[in-house]
Amino acid sequence: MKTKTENTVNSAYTSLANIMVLEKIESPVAQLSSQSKGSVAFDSAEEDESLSRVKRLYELGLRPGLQIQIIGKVSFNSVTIIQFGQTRLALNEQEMLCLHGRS
Amino acid sequence: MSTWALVGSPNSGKTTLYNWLTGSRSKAVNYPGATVEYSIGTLRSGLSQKWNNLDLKIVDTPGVYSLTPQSEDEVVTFKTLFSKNQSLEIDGVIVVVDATQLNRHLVLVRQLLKTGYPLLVVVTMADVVSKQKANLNLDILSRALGVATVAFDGVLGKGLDQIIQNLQKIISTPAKFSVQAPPVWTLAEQEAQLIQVQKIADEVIQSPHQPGESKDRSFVLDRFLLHPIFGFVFFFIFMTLLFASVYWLAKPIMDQVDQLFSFLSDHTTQLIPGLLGNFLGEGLISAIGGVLIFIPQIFILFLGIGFLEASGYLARAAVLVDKPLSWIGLGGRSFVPILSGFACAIPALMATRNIASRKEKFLAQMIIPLMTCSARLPVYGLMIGFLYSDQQPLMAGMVMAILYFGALLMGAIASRLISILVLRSHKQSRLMMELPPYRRPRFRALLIQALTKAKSFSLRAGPIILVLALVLWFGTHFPRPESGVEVSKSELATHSYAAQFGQAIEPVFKPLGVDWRVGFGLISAFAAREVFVSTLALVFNVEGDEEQQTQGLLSAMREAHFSDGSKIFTTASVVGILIFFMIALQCISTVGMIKKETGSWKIAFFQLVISNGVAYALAFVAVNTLKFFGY
Repeated sequence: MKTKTENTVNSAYTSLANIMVLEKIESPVAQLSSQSKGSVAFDSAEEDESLSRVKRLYELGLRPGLQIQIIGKVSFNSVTIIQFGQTRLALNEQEMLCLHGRS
Repeated sequence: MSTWALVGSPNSGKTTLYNWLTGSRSKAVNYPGATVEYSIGTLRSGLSQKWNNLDLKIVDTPGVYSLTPQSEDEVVTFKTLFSKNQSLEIDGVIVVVDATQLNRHLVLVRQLLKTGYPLLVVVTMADVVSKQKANLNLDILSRALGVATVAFDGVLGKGLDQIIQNLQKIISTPAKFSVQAPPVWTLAEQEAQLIQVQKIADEVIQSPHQPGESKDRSFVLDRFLLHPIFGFVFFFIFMTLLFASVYWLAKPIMDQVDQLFSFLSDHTTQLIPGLLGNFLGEGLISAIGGVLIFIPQIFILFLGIGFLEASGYLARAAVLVDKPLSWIGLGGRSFVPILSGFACAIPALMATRNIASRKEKFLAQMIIPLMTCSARLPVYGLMIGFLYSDQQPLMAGMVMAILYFGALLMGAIASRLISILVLRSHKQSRLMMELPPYRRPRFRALLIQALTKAKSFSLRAGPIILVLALVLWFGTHFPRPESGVEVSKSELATHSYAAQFGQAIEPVFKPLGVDWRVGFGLISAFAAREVFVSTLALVFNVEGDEEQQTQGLLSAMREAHFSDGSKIFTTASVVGILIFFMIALQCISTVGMIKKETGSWKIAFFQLVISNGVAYALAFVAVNTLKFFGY
């Protein structure tokens, strides 16, 4: 049976947390690259890094269609804590920009 | 002998299983060409005997999220499994998966299934699943994967026998296999794999909870430990405890080690007369003592880091300070090694192994020697004592605080400059940190881990430090006087090669307002910074115990003059010495450790030259500016 403290904390968590369903995992560089239609040149090293970042997000278990919970922000609002299933991840601003979804 | 590699994601419980299988029969090794260490051990004798003297070698590889490596750690695991040019031949893979993370960890298993390696899947945290009132069905998992699957309890060791039984079965029916490179999946294929393993995980674990519902109560602690304000309060408390235990707990043990080796050194020189006794006592035994004295700090630091990591807090701490450290090019994982540098650079440099990012690891290794380590304190104490007497404790305290913050500021500036000018990196480092559930650490496992680190230090960095210390002994004890001629220790020191070298380069020290005697002290301080004080006492002919030496030395310093009658130790020259000590890399043990951790004498030498050069330049500016204003 949950104690009173746990009930209060868990409900506080839920009310603060945003639920999001991931629609796409794509880096801002890749997005801009596909929209640029050749008018903007991108550093190939930067594109490689953004692709490997997205790959790593997949390897950590994130995928389109997955429901994630935004738990909160820490470290001067620069790091976002997300949760899906029993996995909790900390992502920085650049990494969060790769997650596109709807509430 | 059959060799099996333990492969799995970070925090899956690989090392716990490894410790259960090998006990203390293990050693840490560097993968050739890498600074990453991993452990190789043989099956514990008790277990081996129980299973018909099974001859089994286990390799604990660094944790990987996939077989497409993206870090130095993962490259080591990849090469261990797939490189043709290596001495270690892997006969099979034990894949360790966390039962609470099957929806992710099974992707790695499916990747390994395509490589051709004989596999055994070990499922950890089954006890956690049952506490969550869920049911884990290993038969379904085994059928879905097509390989044997065993549950293992890392706390009680349950399942160990089944693991070995399965390994023995695979080993005793050898089938030829050819290893293929793992598949490299596109994003679409990766997504398909995740969907498939989710289905498998849903069948394997029957849970009464709703999908997405938080099942692990330990995450509740994050409400406090990751709070935007209180999170930092708890962080400060835990880091203070860690730092205090490295500094205060280790000190009495280090004092005992110091006394033991001083005793051995003195008795050896008394028992064995002449140069041989001197070499054995003041050279070899002192040099060995100089290596072993670091063991208590290394042991306590890695015990503390191990506790924070195993409990799940270290990842949170790294996340909390990620932003502030990113301002100087570092990341959250750099904080504990840098903090440890305030006790001693040696264990701090070893702790940089926890930093996954190569760039951040390098930066941390470059700035750790700038942190005000405990060895600098006797020098600071002497110089501040010269500037301010016992009647001005507030001013003395303020100078000490300025030196500590000055070091931090220098470290931050150095990190920023190296990041921009040397690494040419303006990009934000990766974070993507998994926050594991909070767990109660197993003390035995922590002890083994800390002992392994201490052993690794003695065997790897020890010889380098030993050789450098012996070279320095030679320089300060030769040339010897002619036979039959008695000279005092002070005279021997002042005529040694090191002193001659100090005299020869006196023009270098003159602009800092000091003479060759201080220069000789600075050279001797390379053995250990605190040796500066005893060397000054030697050249100024001051005897007695530590306290008498300090008081006598202060008087001698106030009286010391150049040949033209001007004073050597003035406010300006003492401030110069303080600035020099604050910045210069003056410790051969640290140089040896930098070489060990970076794998490069070039980097260690570069750091030595640059830090001493910058220290000299800033000390020069400070001394001459103060002289201009009459100090």
